[in-house]
Amino acid sequence: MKTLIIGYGNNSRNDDGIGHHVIAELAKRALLGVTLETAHQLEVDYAETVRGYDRVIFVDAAIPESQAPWTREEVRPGLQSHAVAHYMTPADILGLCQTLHGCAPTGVLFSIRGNDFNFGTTFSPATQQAAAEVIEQIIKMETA
Amino acid sequence: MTDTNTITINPVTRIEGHAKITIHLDDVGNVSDTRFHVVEFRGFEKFSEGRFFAEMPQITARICGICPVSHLLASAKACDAILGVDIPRPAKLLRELLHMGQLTQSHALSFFHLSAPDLLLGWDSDPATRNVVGLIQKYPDIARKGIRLRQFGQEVIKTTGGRKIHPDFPVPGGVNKALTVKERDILRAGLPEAMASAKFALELLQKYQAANSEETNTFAAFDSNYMGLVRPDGALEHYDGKLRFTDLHGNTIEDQINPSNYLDVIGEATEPWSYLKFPFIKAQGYPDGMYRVGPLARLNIADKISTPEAQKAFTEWRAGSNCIRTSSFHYHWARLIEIIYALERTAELLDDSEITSTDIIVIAEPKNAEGVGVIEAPRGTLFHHYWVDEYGRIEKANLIVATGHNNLAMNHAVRVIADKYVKARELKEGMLNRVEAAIRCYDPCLSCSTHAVGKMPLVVELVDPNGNVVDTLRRDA
Repeated sequence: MKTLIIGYGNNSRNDDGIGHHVIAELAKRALLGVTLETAHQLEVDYAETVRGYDRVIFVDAAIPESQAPWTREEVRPGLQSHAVAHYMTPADILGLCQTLHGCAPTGVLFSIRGNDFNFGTTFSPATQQAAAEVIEQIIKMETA
Repeated sequence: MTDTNTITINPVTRIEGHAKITIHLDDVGNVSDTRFHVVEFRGFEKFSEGRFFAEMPQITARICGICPVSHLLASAKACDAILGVDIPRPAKLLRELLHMGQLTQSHALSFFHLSAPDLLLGWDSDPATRNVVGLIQKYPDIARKGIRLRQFGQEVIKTTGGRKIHPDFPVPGGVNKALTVKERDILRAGLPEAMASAKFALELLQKYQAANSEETNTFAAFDSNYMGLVRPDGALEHYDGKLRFTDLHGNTIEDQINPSNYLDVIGEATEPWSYLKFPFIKAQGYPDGMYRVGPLARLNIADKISTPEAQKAFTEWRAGSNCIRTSSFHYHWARLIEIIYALERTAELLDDSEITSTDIIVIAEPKNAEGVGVIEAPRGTLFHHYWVDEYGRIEKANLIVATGHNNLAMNHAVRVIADKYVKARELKEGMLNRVEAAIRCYDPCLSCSTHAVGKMPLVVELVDPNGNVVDTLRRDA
């Protein structure tokens, strides 16, 4: 199985960059068959990037009001209208891939609750702990 | 005194510079004035004061997430000037390679994602689908070419500079990463497909122009001066070169001006209703000294293009037009010719034996109290001018971005469109589309939000002299 893992968010806004952190930690584990990417946001172009993978794992920060430190959800191809074309959701990306190529990889989204979205490049302890748990989840998925 | 009515379009955009448009009518319903207001205050020139000059590339890159490369390069050049150094040739090649990637991705984004939906889906089609998503759904093959062309440009940036957005690659004195042989070969391998897509796009546009020549030749068309960089032999140039100014007839006003001396030629005015400055040619005064920059201007001022396929396209550009293209629509045409040039120039750079050299930086102490860095960003000429104290701290910064140069022109484009489409007190949906389309021709950083994916709320109100709303045109989110 070929997997693409995309960690995205603004890594100048503390916990919003937790997706980048997850990717950096996964890079140290040298997982077979896995491609790692980071991004500020999901753009239309990712509809092309995800083609050729069996699975795409998205990792993003969630708002402080989220119920759990982290969540995992399956992502199905879909398409919603948004205010700007350079903001896409994981479902949009898979939906656009399906439109362009007739098929799309399976998708999983890990949302890690962020507590501090001020300007900076550090992570709150709670978010960092949640990220560690997500990393272990991803490793389990990829080594199962 | 004549009372006026005002039509306000707000927000037109949701960019790194928000904007609105007001169209002023006189008592009999004719357009008396139009204004393109930039209402967001950024403040980079002010909050940079006190920072060490070498930080400026990374600070100013954050002006924009679409064109950080342009600011990085102009800023690095200004820093080079403060250091008083001529950077190593391999570093210049690599910076230009980064720049060609930027031109490719930015122009591809502008055409395929932001403007092609109007052309292919219809100007007056449902806004909810008249966008890149709608394009993907109706013309997936065309959309895919555009996506992959933009991706190639971004791969050039990422491979050369280390990352797609805000690379820290250009630094004072050179660059901080060499290109490996393997990286060079990966980029080379992507060129044929990218060039095929670029040529496809040009043919697509030319077919559209042929079928709609009356509109495309006159869309927001007006006379103006033009400015841009050219090589010593007058050829199109984006990274280095000297400034050339031409008038509405294509006659040269000023030529081979050292960009460091731009203030000898360019003045800047301000208006109380906009945070964006209004540059003008000093010799002609404000606002008569309006000029345009960007792809249309660059092809109007250049004598030739140094690469063969782009030169062929340029010959068609010049044919039958008495050398000057005045229609704002032709920015799209010029943009596509420039993609072809950027790809050919990318090939030339990758074939240069020094592109993989590791002689990429010179270390020096600051020697000069000020430095100017100028490049042709995708949208037009970009100036970064820094003044520093004896410790290298910024005392003052002056940034003139392409959107600024085109400010007067964009105001004028809106006026031309409003004159044609705003009739008396009747507001038509088509007016909104055309006004937005006129702005998109200039591809300011406003373009992202002038083409929101069917969700941009637009409210146009016609208000009488007593402040009563007499008509409303609304496009809801």
